Amino acid sequence: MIRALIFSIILFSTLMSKEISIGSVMPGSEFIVKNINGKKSKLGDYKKENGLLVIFSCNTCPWVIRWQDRYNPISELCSDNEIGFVAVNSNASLHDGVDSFDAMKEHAKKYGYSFPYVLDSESKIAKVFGAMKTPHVYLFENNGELAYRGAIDDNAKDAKKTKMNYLADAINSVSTGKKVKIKTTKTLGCSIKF
Amino acid sequence: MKNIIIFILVILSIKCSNDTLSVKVVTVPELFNNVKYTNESTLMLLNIWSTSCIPCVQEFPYIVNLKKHYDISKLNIVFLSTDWDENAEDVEKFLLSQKVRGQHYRKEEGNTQKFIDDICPSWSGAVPFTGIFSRELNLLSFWEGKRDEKFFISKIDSLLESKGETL
Repeated sequence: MIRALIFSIILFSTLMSKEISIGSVMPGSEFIVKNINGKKSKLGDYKKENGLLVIFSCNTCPWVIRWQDRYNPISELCSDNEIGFVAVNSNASLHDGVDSFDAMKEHAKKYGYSFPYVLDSESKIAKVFGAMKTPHVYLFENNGELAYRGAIDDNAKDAKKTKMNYLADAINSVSTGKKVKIKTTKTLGCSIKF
Repeated sequence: MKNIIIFILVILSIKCSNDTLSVKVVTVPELFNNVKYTNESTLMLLNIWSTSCIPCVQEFPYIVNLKKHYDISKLNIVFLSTDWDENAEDVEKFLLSQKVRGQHYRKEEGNTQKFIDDICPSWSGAVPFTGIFSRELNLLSFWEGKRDEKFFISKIDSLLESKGETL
């Protein structure tokens, strides 16, 4: 019984650690996603000259709502630095409820999204990324390799009180060909509802 | 001498509060220090939640209900809220509405990455999070996301069996 227990803990830990690692090439580039403007495209099509930022997001998570005021400035920073930006809603089990396509459109309108917000209808993207929560960001370089993953910054509650702007620093590094200093971070968020 | 007095005060404050609710703001080391003095159960279930997290609130009654399945000698249930200071009242109101009594906790604001790693380095940070610890507070099992009562009971039963407890 003890062996079985240890095995199950190891197995569970292995499953939990499937998240893509720094330096790995972006998976799921060929997956088709539907943007809130109705247009369907491949996830990889959102990549620009210097890379792509993928953020797993949703409509109701309290941490997403708190970080919401940083989405548009980050999108602008990406745009200024020739990095694509796409927000992905992978909450498949809520796609007929609070995270429906219509609810996504309303949410984007409410917060004035200036970037694509796409539906990951079967959570395929979240699964291949090993993403577990929202909000959670993955920044890929121009060669498609993961340069940074984790939090936007260190203060969900108040943008003015952030001490560490992890994502903005990573974007600036990636766009100028420098190495990202802090490559992974963790913060609290809502579990993705597969 | 000072440590003995602190120890006695901690024990007394928690023993006296079994019929009332107390929510203490803590770091992870403070949480474990508090729990280790009072945990007399074979297992301790730590549920990390938030009042504004829908799945957390949905699974909450399943966890509260575990008290009907396991007496305190087998399972100690501890709730740790991740709500911000501004929601402190909401946390207490919710716990009271769920008939939760005794000593429970709320995360001290800030240092979130350290908080996550101190609880469990393999935890992504997604809530709800549930960890089951031994009497000595070693982490035996954990999972992220909402589960149903059947899942909780199955996990706890298998861990109790592994500890030689009769069900």
